[in-house]
Amino acid sequence: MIFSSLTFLQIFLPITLLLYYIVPMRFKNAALLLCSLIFYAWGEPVYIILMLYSILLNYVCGLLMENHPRARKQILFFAVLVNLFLLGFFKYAGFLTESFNSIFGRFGLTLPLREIALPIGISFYTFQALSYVIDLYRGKFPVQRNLTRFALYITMFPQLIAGPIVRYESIAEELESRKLSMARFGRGSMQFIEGLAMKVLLANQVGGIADEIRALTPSPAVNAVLSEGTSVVSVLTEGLPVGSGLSTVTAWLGALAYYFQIYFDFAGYSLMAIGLGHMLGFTFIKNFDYPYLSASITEFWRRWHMSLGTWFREYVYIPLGGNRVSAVKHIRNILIVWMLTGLWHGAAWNFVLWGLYYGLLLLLEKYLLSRIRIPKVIGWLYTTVLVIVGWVFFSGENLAQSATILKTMFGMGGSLSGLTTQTAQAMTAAQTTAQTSISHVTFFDQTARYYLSTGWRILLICGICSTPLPRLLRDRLLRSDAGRAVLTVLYVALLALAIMFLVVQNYNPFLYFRF
Amino acid sequence: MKKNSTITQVNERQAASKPVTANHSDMEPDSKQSGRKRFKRILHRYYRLFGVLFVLLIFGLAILTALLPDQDYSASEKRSLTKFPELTLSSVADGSFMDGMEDWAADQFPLRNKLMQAKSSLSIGLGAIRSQDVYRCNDGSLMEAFSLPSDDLITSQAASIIDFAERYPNKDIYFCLVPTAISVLEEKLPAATLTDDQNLYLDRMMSAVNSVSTVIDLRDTFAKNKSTTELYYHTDHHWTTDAAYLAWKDLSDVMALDSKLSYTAGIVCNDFAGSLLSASGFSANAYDAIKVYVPEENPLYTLTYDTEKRMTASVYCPEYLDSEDPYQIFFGGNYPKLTIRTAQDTDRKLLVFKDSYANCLLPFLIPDFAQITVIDPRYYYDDLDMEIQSVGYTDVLFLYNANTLAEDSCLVPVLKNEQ
Repeated sequence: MIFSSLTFLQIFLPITLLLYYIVPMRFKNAALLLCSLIFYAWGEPVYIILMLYSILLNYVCGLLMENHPRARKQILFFAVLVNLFLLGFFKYAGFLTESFNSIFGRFGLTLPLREIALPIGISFYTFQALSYVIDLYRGKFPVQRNLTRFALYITMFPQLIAGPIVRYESIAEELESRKLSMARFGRGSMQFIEGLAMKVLLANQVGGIADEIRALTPSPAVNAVLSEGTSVVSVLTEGLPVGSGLSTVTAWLGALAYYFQIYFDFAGYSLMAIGLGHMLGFTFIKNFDYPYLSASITEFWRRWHMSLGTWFREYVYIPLGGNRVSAVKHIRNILIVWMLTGLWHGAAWNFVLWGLYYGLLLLLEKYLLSRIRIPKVIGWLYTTVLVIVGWVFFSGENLAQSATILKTMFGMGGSLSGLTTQTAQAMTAAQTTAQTSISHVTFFDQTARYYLSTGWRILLICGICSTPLPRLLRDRLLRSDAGRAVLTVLYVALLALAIMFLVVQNYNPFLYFRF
Repeated sequence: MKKNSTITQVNERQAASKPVTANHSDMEPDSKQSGRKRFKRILHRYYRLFGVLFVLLIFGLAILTALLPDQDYSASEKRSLTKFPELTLSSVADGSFMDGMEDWAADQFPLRNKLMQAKSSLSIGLGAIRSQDVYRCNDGSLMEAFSLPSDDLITSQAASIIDFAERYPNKDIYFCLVPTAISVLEEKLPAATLTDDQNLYLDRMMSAVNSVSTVIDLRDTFAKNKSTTELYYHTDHHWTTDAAYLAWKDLSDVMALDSKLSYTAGIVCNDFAGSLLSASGFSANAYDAIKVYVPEENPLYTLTYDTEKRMTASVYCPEYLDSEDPYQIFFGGNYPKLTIRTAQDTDRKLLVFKDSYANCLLPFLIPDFAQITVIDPRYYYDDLDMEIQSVGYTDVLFLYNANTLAEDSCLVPVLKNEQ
């Protein structure tokens, strides 16, 4: 189940709140655990077994570490290995096989490919489980003997499927006892509404634009391209031998739309989780801190998906030696961390490359740019462009598509020589004529005009909402009675609008009656 | 003492609050302290009130959902609404129960229709001009987008018509491809649209069949009359009877139809909410009126619904005026094959291949033929050659609108007589 669904808002949330608040304190954990399991099973009725297995494994390993102090290291090693194996198998098996086949396929070596559906949230809950066993080994807290509490830590529905990645350390106390108050509940519900509005009213809307524009770009499967003897490098440098249906402005609009989509989707979801946490008496760490205002890539990653950054720093970067090692080792550490960060986001070369891209940018800032003073505005501009470019890598169905879009954005490539008939037919007449008359990428066309004239309002709203302005307005309104009244109306309206959008998403006319 | 605002950073872990800004520029440190405390108390009370409000809203919604009876049918979307899904082990295991639940929740949401209207107005306010390939013009009228078909489709359609003409060389063949609103009333469209150029298609298609048929190009006539006549419905993808009347005048010249009947137009329905309205979800500024042209003297004829073996004496079916698609007043909709037999003193017999645009035009043709056979290739699966050989047709008319023919995959197999 996802928060931005009517099933959640109309049915799950009221029932859960009712159950949670009417049972006595000592049953609240069990009640919440039950609801969380139903929440997960709603989306993954089968893979819930995998999650239960993961819970038991880590719980037992914790107890074993406690009871066999001499074998602590071996037990930790075992737990980490099994966790990583499960993650690796369910998330990366297909990717690894495909990559193996594309490299060794030409020598006649192929592995059978089996499609495995990715269990929802596995990347999140595996990382949470790892933080528990590792920190327990480090002696940061006593072992959790209560299975309900431990299972609740892994499955708690607010953060279960899209973070923040909560480290055990940070909610250990609250698992035991927590304070519930109506004021906290109210504050949490306001955050929940903010998050819901970000997701439904902003992310989903710009997402429509991003999807439509991406659909204009041809994206043959990367394997097909690779098997024809084209290397990844040549795809990246030359793009695909097909023209895209994009003009430069359209490509930028699509990239900008995605830039806002991913932020409001992810940050909105995190905020809903934090709000729900407060409503249930749990404190989750902040996950996004206006990342799009950053004046450097380093700053961007301090403000974007903060819980993931913390996780990698705690459990990969610092154990590798962090920056207290020689420059060469430091560079190695950064690259490892960022390759893994990329890979964590998805099992495809897109993501690896996207991670390494950030690794390299961070090194560049650390070793070169840190010596120069860059004006804030320039820093912001350069960061924004680089982040947008990064998201193009991230969002493309494969490297080839991303490369085509990027080249269009920067006015390169786009020769008509290899334009396939289907592509030409897929393009509108206006585009076809534009492309036949000139051999380079069109800068502006009818498609761009359409998306610009229909999309600028929502893009502008997104721009404003990625700054602290709405928060400042809220804090201002909180200060007077009249302001608070306005604020109440505003939040109720946001909730109503979000629900309205969710209902209308299902607008589904039966189109065949027309003939 | 700080002159400007003080920012209090509240620890995330302690309180359920975010950084709070307070302005107490002219207070002593002590009163500042207590002012802050008082503000915190006010905030605390406000959050508590909001929490209560949130609970009331969420539970109110849940109770309303549980109490309101399920609706069966959505008139605006012209479809049945989702019922509560059946709870079985297998429907839970494959997730269809959960998907069904979300569909049910959305379909049965309290005040769903009102919400959809509100959303439509909001989207329009935010600059939306297109929904489900329907454009909304500034005057509120709706138009269906046009997309160029593939070269293959154009070629194969033209080839099948040419082949048909060569198979039946002694028949007069007429080809009338009607432009739709999106090209005729192009100037009404918003400035930036993503629709293809329909004129390119009309030109290509017409010149492709020019050698074997007489082409009737209505664009000039429509251009001349569009300022004085409503050629298309504002909420529907069809042309109006007025437009069909103009087309009939053009056809009369080309096909040498010499009926001199004069007609009086009358409105039979003025709350026509057309297909584009439901398809797009946009709200309408005004509903449409459907007209019927009544001749001064009714020619005698019978109309046979061949597949249903049913016969009537009128092409009009007024019972459909109250239905969800009042355009079906003409012939009651589309049928694989209709035969109109008249008592006119003529040898001419007409075979028509058509889509629904023809339905409001065909009545004008009745006085000039002894028989008119109307085939809608989308539903026709009989032996065409046998049909043609058994009746001595003198004329053949292809009548389509550009949008339908550009998406049609049924005409070619019917003309090739692939059943």
